[in-house]
This record gives sequence, C-alpha cells and structure tokens, in this order.
Amino acid sequence: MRGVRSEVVKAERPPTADEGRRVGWIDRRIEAAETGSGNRRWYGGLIAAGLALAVWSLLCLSGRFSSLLLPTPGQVLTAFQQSVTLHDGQRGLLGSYLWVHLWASLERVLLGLAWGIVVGIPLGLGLGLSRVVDRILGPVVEFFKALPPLGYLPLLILWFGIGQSSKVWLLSLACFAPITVATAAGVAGVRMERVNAALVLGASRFQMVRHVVLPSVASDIVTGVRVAAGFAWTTIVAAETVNGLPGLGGLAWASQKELRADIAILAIIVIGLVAVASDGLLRVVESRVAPWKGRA
Amino acid sequence: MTIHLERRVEARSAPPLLATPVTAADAVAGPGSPAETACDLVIDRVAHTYRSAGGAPVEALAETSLIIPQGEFVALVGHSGCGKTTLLEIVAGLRPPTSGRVLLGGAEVVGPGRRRGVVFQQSSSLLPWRTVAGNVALGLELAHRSKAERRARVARELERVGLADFARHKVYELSGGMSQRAQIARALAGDPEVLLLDEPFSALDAFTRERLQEQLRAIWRQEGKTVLFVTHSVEEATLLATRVVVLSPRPGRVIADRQIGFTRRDLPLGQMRSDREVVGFAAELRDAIEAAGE
Repeated sequence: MRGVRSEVVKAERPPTADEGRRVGWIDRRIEAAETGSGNRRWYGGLIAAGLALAVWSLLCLSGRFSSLLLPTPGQVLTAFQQSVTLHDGQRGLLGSYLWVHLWASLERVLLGLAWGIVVGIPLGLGLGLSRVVDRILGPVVEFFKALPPLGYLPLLILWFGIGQSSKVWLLSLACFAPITVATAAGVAGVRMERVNAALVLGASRFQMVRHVVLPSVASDIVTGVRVAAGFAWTTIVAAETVNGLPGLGGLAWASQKELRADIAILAIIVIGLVAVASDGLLRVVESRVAPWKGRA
Repeated sequence: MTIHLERRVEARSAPPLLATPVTAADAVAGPGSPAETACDLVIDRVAHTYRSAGGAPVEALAETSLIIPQGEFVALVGHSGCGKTTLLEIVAGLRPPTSGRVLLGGAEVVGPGRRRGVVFQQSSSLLPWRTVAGNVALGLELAHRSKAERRARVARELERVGLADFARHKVYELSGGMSQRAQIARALAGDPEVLLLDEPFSALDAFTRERLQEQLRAIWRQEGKTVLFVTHSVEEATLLATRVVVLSPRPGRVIADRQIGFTRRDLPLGQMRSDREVVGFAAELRDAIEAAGE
C-alpha cells in the first residue's frame, strides 16, 4: 500500500519543479522597503532618453518628414547653442538667453505656487475642519479643479491685462485646488486615536489644530504642493501664450510664428527637465517631513 | 471628507431626565456600600446605541450603573463586542451616551478632561512627530505648565515606567511594550484622578505583558488612583483588580460584579498566577462569562 502511495505522489510532483512562486514587482517593493530607496534606478531615465533619441534620429533619417517640421537632434542642439550665445547680433533666442526665459517661467511658477499655498492650505483646513465650510466651498473647489486653465485665461487677460499679473493669476488658480484638496483629505485622514489622545489631555480646538492636525497633514500638504507644481509646469505654456516673452512657454509658443520647430522642442525639453527636477526635490521634502509614514 | 472636532468637545445639553433618577447618594445608601467620597466615579444608567448609516441601530451597551469609589481598581471583562470599550469611551467623555450620565465627584461628565487620563489600546495614539518625552509632556504643555515643571514631571514619569533612557527617542522606534509604557507615563503626567485603560496590554507578548502588569500594579499601589481597566483576559482582571465587573455579550449588561483584591497582597504577580485561590476565582469568572455567551 505504502509503495503505491508514494508512487502516486511522485507522479504528481516531479522533483525538478520548484515549490512556491515569486512575484517580481512585489519582490522589488520588498527590496525598496528594506533599502529605503525607490524601485527606479537613476540610469533608467538615461536609458529612456537614449531610446527616445534613437527613435527620433531614425525617424529623421527615414527622410519621410521635412526637417522644417521634424528637426533633427542636431538642429535642436544648434538651437540650444544659439539660445545660450550671442550670435548674428542676437542675444539667445527670441531676444533673450535661455536662462532668462527659464528664470521668467520659474518666477511665475513660484509665484503661482506661493499664492496657491497661501490660499490652499487655510482653505483645505477649513474644508476639513468645518462642515459648513465644506458644504459651501467644497463644490466650488471641485469645480475649479475640473476647469481647464486655458478656458479661463481669456477672462483673466480681460481683467488683469497681458502683464505678469494675469499669468500669476492663472497659475495660482491652477495650483490652489490640488493643495486645498490634499490638505482637506489629510485632515480627514488624521488618526482618530491621536485626536482622542489630545482631547483627553485637555486640548482646546486651537491646540488640536496646532499640535495634532497640522503635524499630521504636513506631508499631505507637501504632496498637494507636488501635484500643484506639476500643474503649474503643464499650465506654463498656456499662461505665456499672450505676451509671454521672455519665458519657456512663450518661447515654445512663439516658435510657430517663426516656423522654428527646433525651438519648440528645445523649450519642451527644458520645461520637462525643470518639472522633473522640481518634482524630485519635493519628493525628498515629502519623505523628510513624515519619516514615520508606513511605520506608525 | 471631514472630521468635526467641535462636535466632540462641545458640552452636551441638559442631562436626560429619567423617570426615577438614581443619584449617587441614593445608590450608595444601601447597607455595606462604601461611603461616598468627593471623587467617586458614578455611572448612572448609561446606555449606548450605535446608529449606523442606513443599517439598523446596534445596541452596544444596555443600561448600566456602577459606583466606583475612589482608589478602586475595577476591571471590566467580557467578550469582544460587549460594549466595554464603549463604556470606557463614555467615561472618558469621548463618546456621549445615548442615555444616562457619568458623574465624577458629583460633576457630570460632558466631554474629555484632564481629571481622567486614558491609555489607549493602539500605541499609534502617541504623536510620531514628538519624542517620547515630548509625548509625555503634551498634556502639561496644553495646560500651559512652566518648562521647569514639565521637565521635572516628565523625568519622574519616564523614570517610573522605566523609559528614562528613551526620552529622546522617536516614538515610532519603540517596541510595543515601550509604547504602552510611554502612554501610561503620558496619562500619569497630568496627575489625573481616574486612570482609564482600554486593553492596554492585549497586543503585547506574554513576557512584556507580565512585566507591564507588575508595573501597573506598583503604580496603582503607589498612587491610589481610581482605575477602570478594560480587558478580555480573565486572568489579568483577577490579578490586578480589586473588583471585577463582567459584561454580557451585546448588548452589554453587568452579569457579575465581584470584589476581590488579590492585587492587595504582597506576593509578586508571578507567584499569584499559580496561587490556588486566584486560579479558582479566575475559573469561576470564566465559567460565568461562558455561560453568558451561550
């Protein structure tokens, strides 16, 4: 009997098969949790950039596209050289050096973010802490969050002119909603046992906000600012369509009139790089602000 | 989307008028009752029903009355879901009762306050952005005590629970047992009259639990504070309490209320655990709970 039984078992499980199963992406998460690093390697971006460059070059080499519409990487590099040098009596591109364009856009984004933070955090706290504020202003914030910024740009230009203020208004309006929503969500997510702990220690409403709510939502606020910064960079071209020079968005937008696709691509690459860098910076802040996340 | 702090801290409106009000004085007037002192904790026909959204209301706690004289160590025991935590939250003032009231030294409890210190089941009730000492100091800070007083008090409480060397540690670096000791220190720092503990040791390993039980007993003997201790462990209740109150399964009702007081003995807890009388009493209690569960 026993012999028959063991034969059956053998037949079902050949000795070569492995026991159990591993799931790749979960392994990477475990590793990331242990080493404290994200599961993306720094060279991943380089490989992706190399691939994109290769595809781009191949498309150009195929000769099916006019170099006027699809400039080669070499042309874009030339545009970059022009943008940082004095050439043919011109400073940079479209009247300014690249860093002047960059700084102009960065200044607008920072101003927009600053106003978004100044309005968004108190509004988010209000929405999270007061039912009345939530009922009345909650739908307004949702509405603003859903609006495409380009849609209300004409109004802002009519009201605030074509100078700096209409651009900063546009970016502020694009920025405040995600910060508000993240802050309010953070308040809703404050651990009830921490609120209760402070209550039994005699915390007043103000003390509760100061000692429990604000420290709890700090990391949510940074997350909101990160999302808002992303919004700001995606909105910068829209903001700089009218009288946007100097500015990276203005540079990209004006290139169509001059039929300079190379400038447009250069501007896009620079905007993308700056946006990714600012996101990375805020990511670091995010992890520093609440080192206990996922641990307590 | 929102939490509403104001609803939890606001004072409740006038106490419900019941047909035959049993005041503390009435209730303690019976023969053999301990004399009422200023700081008795009186639970007067407290009941609680949870209203779930859409679903049928759940009666968690049936009308319950208890008079707890100052300095008594009362263990509330029962099956999970018998309303013992609900009752503790009502005494803490964190949850208004559906009916009835709680009196502390004659004053009606309308919300949380410093006279009742609470040790929560979850160690996540410690604030992770503060150090261990910062957490213990929180209550004193909220009460605007001077820095010198805060420092002295915090040092004393940390010393007492054996965390003096961990004052500057982050709370999320502490083990489960240390977290609960930090919670006890935090509750004691404000020198409350009543200490409320909600299954404080249930998540700890057996060795740590025994050490913390010993510590809690020592603190209670030293301070003589009134203690209301919620646990599902009959043994723990028997060892620590001077009085064990057993609640029935939902809705919770008092099915046994026994004075004991093994904890007054000078034996170490380790020896008491195997003491025949203690074991016998625990078995008796367990039988009562089992019988009620059927």
